[in-house]
Amino acid sequence: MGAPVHLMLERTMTAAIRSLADSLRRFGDDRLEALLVARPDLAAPLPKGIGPLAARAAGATSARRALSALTLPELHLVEALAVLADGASPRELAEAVSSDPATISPAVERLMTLAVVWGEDELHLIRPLREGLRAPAGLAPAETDDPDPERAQHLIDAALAARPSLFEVFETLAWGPADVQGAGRLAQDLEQAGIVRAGDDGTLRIPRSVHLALRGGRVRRSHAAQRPAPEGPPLTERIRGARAAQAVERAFEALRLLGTVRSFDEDPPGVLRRGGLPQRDLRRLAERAGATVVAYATVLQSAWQIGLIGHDGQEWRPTRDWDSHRAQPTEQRWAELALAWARGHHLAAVVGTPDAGGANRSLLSDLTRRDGVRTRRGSVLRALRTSPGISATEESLAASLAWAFPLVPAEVIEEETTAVLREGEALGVIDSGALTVLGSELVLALDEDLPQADARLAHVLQEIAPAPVDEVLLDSDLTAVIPGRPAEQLLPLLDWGEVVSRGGALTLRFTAASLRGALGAGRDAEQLLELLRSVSRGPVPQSLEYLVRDEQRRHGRVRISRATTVLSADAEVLDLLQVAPEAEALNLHRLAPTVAVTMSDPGFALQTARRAGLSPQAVGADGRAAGPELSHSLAGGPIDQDLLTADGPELRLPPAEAVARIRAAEEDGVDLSVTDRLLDAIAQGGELPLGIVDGRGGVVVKHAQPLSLEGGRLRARESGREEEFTVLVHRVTLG
Amino acid sequence: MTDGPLIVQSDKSLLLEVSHPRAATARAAIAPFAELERAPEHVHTYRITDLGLWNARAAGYDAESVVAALVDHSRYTVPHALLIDVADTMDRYGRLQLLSDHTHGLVLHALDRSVLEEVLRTKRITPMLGERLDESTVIVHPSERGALKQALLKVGWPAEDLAGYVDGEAHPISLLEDEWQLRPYQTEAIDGFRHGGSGVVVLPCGAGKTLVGAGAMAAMQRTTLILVTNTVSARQWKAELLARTTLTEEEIGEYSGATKEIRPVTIATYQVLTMKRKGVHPHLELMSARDWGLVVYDEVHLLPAPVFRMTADLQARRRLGLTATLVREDGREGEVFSLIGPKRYDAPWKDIESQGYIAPADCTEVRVAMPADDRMAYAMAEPEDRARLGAAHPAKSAVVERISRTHEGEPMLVIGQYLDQLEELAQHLGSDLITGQTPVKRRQELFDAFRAGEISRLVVSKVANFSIDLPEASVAVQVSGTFGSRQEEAQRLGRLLRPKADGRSARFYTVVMRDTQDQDYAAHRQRFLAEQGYAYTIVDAEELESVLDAG
Repeated sequence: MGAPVHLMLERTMTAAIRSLADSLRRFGDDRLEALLVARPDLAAPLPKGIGPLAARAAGATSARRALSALTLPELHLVEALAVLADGASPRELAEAVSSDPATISPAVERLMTLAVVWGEDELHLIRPLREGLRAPAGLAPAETDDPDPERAQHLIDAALAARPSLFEVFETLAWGPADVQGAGRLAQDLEQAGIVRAGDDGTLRIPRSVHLALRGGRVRRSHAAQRPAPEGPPLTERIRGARAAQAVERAFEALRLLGTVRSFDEDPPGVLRRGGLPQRDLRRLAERAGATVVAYATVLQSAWQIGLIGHDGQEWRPTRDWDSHRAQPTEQRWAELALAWARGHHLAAVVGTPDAGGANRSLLSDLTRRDGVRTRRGSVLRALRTSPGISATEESLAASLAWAFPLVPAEVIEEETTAVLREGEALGVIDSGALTVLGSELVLALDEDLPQADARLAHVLQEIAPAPVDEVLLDSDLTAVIPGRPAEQLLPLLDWGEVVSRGGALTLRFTAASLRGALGAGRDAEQLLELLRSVSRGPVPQSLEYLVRDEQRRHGRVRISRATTVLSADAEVLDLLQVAPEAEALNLHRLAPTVAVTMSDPGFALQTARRAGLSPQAVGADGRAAGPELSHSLAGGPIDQDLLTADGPELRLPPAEAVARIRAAEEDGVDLSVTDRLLDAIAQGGELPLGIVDGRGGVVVKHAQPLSLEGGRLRARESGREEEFTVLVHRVTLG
Repeated sequence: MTDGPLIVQSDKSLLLEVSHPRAATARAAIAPFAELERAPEHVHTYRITDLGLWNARAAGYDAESVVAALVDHSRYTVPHALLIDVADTMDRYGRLQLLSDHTHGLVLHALDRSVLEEVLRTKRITPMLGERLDESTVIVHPSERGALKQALLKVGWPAEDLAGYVDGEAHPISLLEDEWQLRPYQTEAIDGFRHGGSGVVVLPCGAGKTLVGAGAMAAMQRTTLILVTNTVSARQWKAELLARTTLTEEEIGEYSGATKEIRPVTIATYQVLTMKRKGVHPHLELMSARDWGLVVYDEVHLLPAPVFRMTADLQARRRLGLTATLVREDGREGEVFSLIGPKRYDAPWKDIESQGYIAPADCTEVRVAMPADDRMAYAMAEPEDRARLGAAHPAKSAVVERISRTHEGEPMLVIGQYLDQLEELAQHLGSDLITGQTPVKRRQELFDAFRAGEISRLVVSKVANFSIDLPEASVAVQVSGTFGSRQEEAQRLGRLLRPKADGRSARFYTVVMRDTQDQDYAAHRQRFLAEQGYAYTIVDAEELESVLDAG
């Protein structure tokens, strides 16, 4: 991070910082980029200059959003600043959080980078946070009739003098929230002593100044400047390489599960009305694939995110991308899957559980999407990378994550930590609270461009996975053992047999049913025998060859084809129809002298026959006369290819480009819109003449200081007056 | 990566590449804990089960040695989770021990307190336990010794039974090794049993299990109760004991439907023990009628449920189970483990075969096409009638006749299920027929004549599935069977697996109607036989002529 260095250089050159905009103007490019990355909403749309950027950063909505980018110590500093008087010194701030200036300085620097705090010796918190935090550090809002600090201390001393036993009570109250429960004697005493105050509705609340006095003038009891590291027992490996082997096995298992998507063609899972895949279908698919629901859900979700499966509103099916994905090398396919998971905005491990509103969260739906989950997942993965050699406990990981995202509710933190661990396991990147070899590379890949990341992951898998084998061992119990990972040329065998055992090797069993299935799918039995002969280490067992030939003999004794409409008539009538030019479009196919079929639907066939001068009779499947409903038989619709999730809340421009454009606008300094100029004024804290169009079309000019611009309304204070006024921004003109 | 002959699969099966130079070493290393599942020509499949691991543990192997066996012989690095799983499972055996305490009698002692706490909280187990003596010991009601072991196995904490045995009534028995000697593997099996105290010896049909039983009796020198599957088998046991041991006619009693003698060595059938009258088993008392020093269970894989229950009460007596397979079709392998005892000895079929004690067999399946008219009848038949229509089709007769002509003079069995079919075949071939209705006396006469070579052909029904002894049969023709049961197949093939003087391969034919259910059943049989490593060929009936002439 070069930011502090920039700051120091700039400090020597210029005078005191006067405003947020002033602060931002002294930022180097790196620091501005860091700001935009952390608060991407500031760059959409791009502000026209630093002033508007500062104004937007100081807007209430954006400021609240910025809070979610803060770590625990940073949030605590913001709260402390909101409690302290504006312009507190770093020392005062440090004391308020029970720390020292050196310890808190990195966090203060970052708050400045995030355009939440500005100033040097006097620190200023941007206004919406100074005014808008409802209960900073559990303190009640400041009221005008709060006792002053001296008086507050006096109240406490007096109460203690009267009842020393209150000491412990005060200890408890000090670091708890301002609102307290109680109705008994103690509550009465505390109220009489002025320690708590009863509200109109009877609630008891400690006034802010009293609460601060109870805390000895501090806002926070302690300051956690360092992120808690994951903890857990040391990682053991009985046999060297066994963990890597486990990771490889899981990675290939994930790909196997992905392969089961092929079965969607025959038996597609349904689509819920509110989107997503029904839990019942998911369980069924997982069971059939011999996987846990979480593992299967993780793979499906990742596949969905890279567009390998999609739906037409009725059923989930593989997409065209699936076909091209299948053609890629195995390692590459895994890399794509793992990256999709790491970069996705959904949670697979929570499927089937209810959300906060009680709705069951279904896979591949918006109900499992959660903003920020991608960032937090990355955070867990990185935390794991900082603690190699231990099997991190879920609790310690959650604690570490909670430090980085203090505003995220504890149950969300726990849920997501669990999800990362379980989902990561399914893909082979995490194993018992530690990153696998594959997982370590995935963390590195998080900061890389997609092609680079893909290549990195594919490479590491290739590196540690055993080389594929290209031979099979055939036994007369009709099994084929591929003693390792099957090479490309062996893959067709999988279509002919059932996999009965997998792991280091693959055992296939050829059965009458599996052979029939393959023959039915149009595969060639001779080619199978040919392949077997070429890749088998020994001769093809007689019993296997017999079985294959026997099934081939039985195959096709009944032939089934598709026809939409059947026409039956005397042979000569059909002869006539077949040669009639009107009936050419029917493309009639004669099955027997008196029977013909066509792929056209019955309605069209009826019309065509009439045009050819015949008077056809519509009959149902049972041969009896049927009504006109025969002519409506079309079904279906085009498959919707637009399946992918929308982009996340991340910055859409490369940060360097965004900064360059803001700088350019700043230098031009022209063409500022009314809004931009107002924002600039807000950021500078300056006054300007505001022309306000009144109801009759006249313009009243007021000299005023714009305070905020939100929701199309400008709040401003007329110079020399106390009260503020609000006006719709489209009624404002600037001279 | 060691490039060994073994591949460890994630379903805990092990693939052993037979032609690998280190295959034999690897096989020896994994044999103690992995059950051989399939043994075709090239790749043998073993399976690691919880019971297998516990059997190994009971035999003194520890988790380290099992993990080492896997890792040392594996072609690929073995995934971590599997190793952990194996080690964890193994470590579960023996954390609880059944001990005999001189003041409190039978106690359950935990080497790991938390395990005891866990099982104490199990509803089914609590009533079997008495007072808690200390943190890791609790009294066990003596009558619950067997039931407790069963229950502990079910919750995954199999106990090691170190509580010892009552000696039982002494009775002198020794082997009469005059013109013969125990084979080395039989001696090993007897030693294995003797050191373990109780347990199961697994030997293939024809490998001389009866002698292992006799050897165990001689080692113990105690009164013995022998439980067998049926009367014929009981007679054979008796004959064998008379011939091979010092026991005399007066010392051996038969306890069956016909006679009910209780003598120092008593042979009883499962059937009579499990016979029920007015809701009670009047003959189960036999098990406690004498102070037995040893109970032998023949064909333990067929042991019926009531005998299990009774055995649960016999835990203080030494028990020896004999079987060709630990696989029970009812899946009650766990009860054999906890009530009879762990596996004490096991020798794979092929190993014994290669030592020359049992004959290899060639299997041929002959497929007969059904005449067109019958095919129509078959297609129209109710599903429940189809099995019979296929299996008992008369077109099979000609094939059987053709086979019997080829093997003229060789001892041959024709085995089937449908009586009318068998009668017709017997008539056709001019052979005698043995069915369930044949009186025992007549049955034995025919068997004796067959053994003596006076007759060379017999047509037999399901009766042949039970423990009879036909040492010189070298050809078998199976014309119909039930649902391709693996067990039945093992028995049938066992009929042929007898050492033969000239070392010729035994021949096993199956005659099957093509495109009927018969063929589906045959597929099961084929799989089983091929899995046992026997050569298996399928020929069409039309080509039979040329094949037989060639072979």
